[in-house]
Amino acid sequence: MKQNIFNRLLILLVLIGLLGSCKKDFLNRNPYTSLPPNLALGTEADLLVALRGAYAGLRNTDLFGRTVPVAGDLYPDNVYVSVKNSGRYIQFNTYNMVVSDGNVTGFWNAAYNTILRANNIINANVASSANVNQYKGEAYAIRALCYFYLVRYFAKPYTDDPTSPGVPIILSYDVTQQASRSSVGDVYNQIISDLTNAYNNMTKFTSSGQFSKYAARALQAKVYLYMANNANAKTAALDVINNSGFTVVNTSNFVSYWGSGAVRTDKLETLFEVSSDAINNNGYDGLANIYNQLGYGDLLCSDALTALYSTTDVRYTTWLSFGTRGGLPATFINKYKNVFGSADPDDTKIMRMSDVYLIAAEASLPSDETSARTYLNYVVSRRDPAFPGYTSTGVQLFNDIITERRKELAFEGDRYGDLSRLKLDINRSNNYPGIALTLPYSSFKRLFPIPQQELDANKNMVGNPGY
Amino acid sequence: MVVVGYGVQKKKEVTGNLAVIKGAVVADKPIQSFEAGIAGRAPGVQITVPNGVLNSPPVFRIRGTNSISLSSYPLIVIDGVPSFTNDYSSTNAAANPLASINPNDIESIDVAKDAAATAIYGSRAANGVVFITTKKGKAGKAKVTYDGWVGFSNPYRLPSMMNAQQYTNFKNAAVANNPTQSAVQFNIATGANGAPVNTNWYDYVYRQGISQNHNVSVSGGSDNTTYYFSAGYTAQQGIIRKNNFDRLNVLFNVDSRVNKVMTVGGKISYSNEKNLAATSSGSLSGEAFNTAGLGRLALVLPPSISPYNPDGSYNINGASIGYANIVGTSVPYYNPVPQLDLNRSNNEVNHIQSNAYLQLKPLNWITLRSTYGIDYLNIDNDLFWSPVTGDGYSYNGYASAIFGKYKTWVWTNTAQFDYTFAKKHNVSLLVGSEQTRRTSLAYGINRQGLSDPNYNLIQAGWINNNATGMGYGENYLLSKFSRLNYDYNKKYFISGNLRQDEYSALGVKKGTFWGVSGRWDISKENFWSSAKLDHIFNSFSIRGSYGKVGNIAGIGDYTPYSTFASGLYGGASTLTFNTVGNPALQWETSKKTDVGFSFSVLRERLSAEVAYYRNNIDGLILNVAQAPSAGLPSNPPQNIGSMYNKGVEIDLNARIIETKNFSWNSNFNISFNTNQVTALAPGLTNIQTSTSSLETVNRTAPGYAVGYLWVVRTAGVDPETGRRIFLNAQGNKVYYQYYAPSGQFNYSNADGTKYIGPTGATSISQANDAVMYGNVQPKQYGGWNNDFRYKNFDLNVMLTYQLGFYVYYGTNAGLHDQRFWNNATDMLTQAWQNKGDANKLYAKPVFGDNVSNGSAMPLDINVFKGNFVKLRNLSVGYNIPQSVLSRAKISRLRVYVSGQNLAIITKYPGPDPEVSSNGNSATAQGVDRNTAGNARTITVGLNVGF
Repeated sequence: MKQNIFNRLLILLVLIGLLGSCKKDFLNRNPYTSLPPNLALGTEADLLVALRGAYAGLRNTDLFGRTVPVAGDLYPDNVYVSVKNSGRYIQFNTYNMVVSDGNVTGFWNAAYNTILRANNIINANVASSANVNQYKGEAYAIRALCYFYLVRYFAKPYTDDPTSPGVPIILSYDVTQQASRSSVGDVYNQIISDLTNAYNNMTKFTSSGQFSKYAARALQAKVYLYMANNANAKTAALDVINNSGFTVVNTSNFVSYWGSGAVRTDKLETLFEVSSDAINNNGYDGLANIYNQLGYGDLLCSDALTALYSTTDVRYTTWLSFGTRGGLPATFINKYKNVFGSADPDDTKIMRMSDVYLIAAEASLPSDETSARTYLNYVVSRRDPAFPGYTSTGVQLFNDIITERRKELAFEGDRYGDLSRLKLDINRSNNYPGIALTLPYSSFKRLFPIPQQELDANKNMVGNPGY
Repeated sequence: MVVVGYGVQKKKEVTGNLAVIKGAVVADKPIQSFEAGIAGRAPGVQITVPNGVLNSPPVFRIRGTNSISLSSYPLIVIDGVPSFTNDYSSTNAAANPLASINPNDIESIDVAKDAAATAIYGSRAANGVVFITTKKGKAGKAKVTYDGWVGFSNPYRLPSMMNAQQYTNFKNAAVANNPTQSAVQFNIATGANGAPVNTNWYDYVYRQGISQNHNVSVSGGSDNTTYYFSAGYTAQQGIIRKNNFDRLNVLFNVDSRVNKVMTVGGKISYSNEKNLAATSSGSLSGEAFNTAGLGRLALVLPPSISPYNPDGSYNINGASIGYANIVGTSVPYYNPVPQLDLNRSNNEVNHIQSNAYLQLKPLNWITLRSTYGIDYLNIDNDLFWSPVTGDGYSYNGYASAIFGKYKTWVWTNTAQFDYTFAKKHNVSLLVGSEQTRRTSLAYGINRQGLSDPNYNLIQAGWINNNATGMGYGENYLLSKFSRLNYDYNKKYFISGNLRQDEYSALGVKKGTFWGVSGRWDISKENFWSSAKLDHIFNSFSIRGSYGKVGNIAGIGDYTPYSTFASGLYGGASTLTFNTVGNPALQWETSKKTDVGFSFSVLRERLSAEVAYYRNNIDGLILNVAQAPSAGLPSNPPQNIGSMYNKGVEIDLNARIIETKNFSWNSNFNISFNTNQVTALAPGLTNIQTSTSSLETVNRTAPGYAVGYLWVVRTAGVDPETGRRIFLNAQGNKVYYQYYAPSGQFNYSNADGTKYIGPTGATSISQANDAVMYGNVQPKQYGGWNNDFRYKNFDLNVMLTYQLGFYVYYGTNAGLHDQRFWNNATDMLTQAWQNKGDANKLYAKPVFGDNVSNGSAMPLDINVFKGNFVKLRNLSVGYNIPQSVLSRAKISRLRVYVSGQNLAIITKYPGPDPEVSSNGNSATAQGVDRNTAGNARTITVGLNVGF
């Protein structure tokens, strides 16, 4: 009997033992068809694929895919929306902007989404190597690029007030962060710092579809120019001109250069562009489609800009053509020839050698007008064989440089930044709606509204006044 | 005895709120799964059979909707193993996994509702727990039974549609009202015999379904071993052509006492189900606007065209139906006949549910038990679209085959101690642990471009192959639980339940849930009898409970994780951050209060149970927008929203007449429920839920019941001009005409000037002008069941009802749409025709007008009260007298005739207000959009016992 009770107690103990046994590791299983961050960014190879993901982020339709370059020409005075249109970007044409504007919200969200992708690469805990440094360098440049365009559109120019509210500086992944706006000066310092890191980390040139050492340096030159730091701008620009090995496109290869939608590996002209190709593109929402008459063709060249080109200028003959649209005479824009469906839809140019020369020219002022004219004419002589070259001085020389910037970088989204940093009013030709012919520098509409989504979700965010 | 989770208890001693439904109520019914048969059977249990498609899961709620983003479906525990629920099909034939339990094999259905009764299921208990117990054998001679029936199903209350002549006349008149469409012309096609076509599309889509069902069971056993074995076969035809449900199942339950200490036993259940359909019915969740949807095609297609050409071939025009007799407008809908003839959208389920247990009683007050159970569900989906026309046309033929494998194992170990101290203190303690692991795996292929039109199998010759239906997941729930019951002299009862769950799919994995409850049997007190109250009440007790339980039903397996997904950039692979998880994510929490009393009077001929409940739900999981500057690719889920359900349940049972030859037993129950969302998230003022991604009628917002109807108001039709009068957000009248002659406007003010709204809008839109209009959740629901017996005859009359709710009859917008769509015949009398026509329901017919009557945006004219009372079941049976049977060695023989849904009392104009176009969606109930209604079924059957 005693034995029996002992047996029973033994059974009880075994069962209680069973109660405790379990598979704790079943409680901590990761997803199988997608990757958690520590695995996604754990090796050098991971960083490369993640880096491509960051570049893909730049191609978002509301970022460099279309909205940002369009805003740079449409919001000021280079292009206007035809009366016959697809309904896109009307608000940039009429200055009828609301705080919940879809394109502006998309721009903001896509920029910060891409910044987060870059942050994850920069902060990835992967042992340093030449490749890892290159990838992180490219990520620094991507981040700087996003901040540069954010601060351009959502904050006052550095040349006006570096202490005024800029945009939030986000350098790490934090789901619930409610960042407040850093000052414009702090944002610019961050950009310069990122580009210095990019320049120091990178050693390779792969193609114009990815950042390289001198692409970052070129961007830095432009950022210095926006800070009115001409000395540093010139130093950086000359570093690119003298050391990068890139060449400026000229009259003989101009047509073929602008006819191709592919990324370049020959170091001709393009330092960096956001790539679209046959497989990866924005479809009908690509940049070429909004300009080209084979696409939507909504955007037409303003009469004021058209008048700046001489008829012997290769840009005039290659980029512009004439006809009617919506019953009105129109100057069509042919800078982007490869619409969706082409073998390789056009990329968005971000930094070109011609821009670097023009930066060098402007940055040489006011002290060195001779160099300024040299760099300016270096570009101009490669556009219009009939033009003997600028000989102007003083304010006229400065204005000539700005005009050449407008002509050379037209339809690439550069014009608005120039007008802002120079604190100039926008005066539009009569192609635009009558209610939107001018936009003085003092107008609140010179800044895009901080999107309503951000104001709703971020209690530390302060909107731009007026909206 | 009632099942309480990891044990049984005497009903009178249960301190929590449990409803008991006998298995007999679902046996021999023309249903596929048991839930479809329990509407009105218990207070707090709300069942809505959503459509007439066989085996689509009913909308099942216990005490209201308890979640917004997760499931509100109760936890179904079958013989101790939690079952899969919802629809596992990837095709247009529904596959409710609960259909694997033959309703004839069910002994009892016990529904646990309050915190006390459910807390032992912890994090899965918030929606209530339903315990299914299958039949077991009893010691004694083997009993053999056979139950069989044959059934006939038909659709009912289909809308009355125009015939070909009415249609062409009406449409041509509408064309005359729209000068911009003067090229459009409607004519009647000529049929094979030269006679004009007059197609009633119902004839091609619906049918009388003929069904049969057979069950054989053998049960019995010795003193030590008992068994129950059954085999069932059912072949059911739905009211929609080609929609069939075939099930073959076996169940074997065995229990054996090895010796005084040890008992072993187990169950094996296997079921094979074929869910068949030719094509989309347009009735399952997500299908409402399918071009192929049969329910919709029957309404929308012109009666003036025929499914066949005069030579007998299909009348087709590419993917769609041919419409040569209609000029100037296209008819871009499919011909249902070739789709029914040529296409398949089937699935086949193989389902094994099994368990085995070992029970030891080392001492008479100690019970140790270990149970291991499995639930394996495999499903093969088989879809084929013919290249001839319809969905497969643009692919030149399309097929997909998807295999899904869903597995659960559960291992439960419990120890129970029952002890009585000093004869009056009864203590029962349960401690236990449980592990539940689920894995899912699915893969498939779709193939496009048939190499030869004679092929119709996935294995045949095709041009393009793509992967489809890929899925992989797993989750694991690790639990410890305990229950302590104590009573003093069967007079005072208290009970406590405690469960700790750890769940892999959450960020905060561990949670503790609990419930406490008590019951006081007042009628056992001395003062009760001294006050002579016992002369009135045979029993009287009060009870109450409070506790905290959770909800994780339907949450993704990896919700707390942030993940990267792969893509391409420049032809090379990329990884991009695509999902933001929330490592702090936890279950939704329900705090449930329940108080009630029960009594019986008149020598227990009348008994009643009354309960009041309140369920406060916090931490509802919602995807909350974060600051865009954080750069997140998705909005992470957070425990943030809250809502409540509260209500009263009354359950009355009466043995009204009890004589030797005649008896009448009656049960009446009614449940009152109020649901209200009290908070969403900061910055999230409302959640809109669309019907099949095309139309949004349901909006969930604080201060309203979940999924409130959100529609634009109207103010009739202008008698002068026949224009639809809308009300804008401010309640001002806006006159609408589809065709605006020069100098007039589409939307105008009463004085004819152009309408400009307060926000500058020049038209009426849902976004600007819709209002929170109606509640879709019944405020009262229940049933009234009557069992009569007269000598050898028996009669059952079962009524169910739902009251106090609205249904958006979106189909009605289509029935009055002024494109080529066929219209309901009420349009002939209810549309404005001439100046001065007052009180018309529908605007002046103008060809092309899809705005005035509700197609373009949801309007109040298509919202109706859903109140209904249904004669759910009426059956008459006759038991052949023993004197006749004994000679045939038959112990029992009953024959019966039974009818389901024979009558319905409702003012709802559609086929059936018991409907849901969005299936079990928590936030989009009360929508009837192109849904094929329920069936009316008559069965004839017999029950035999040997």
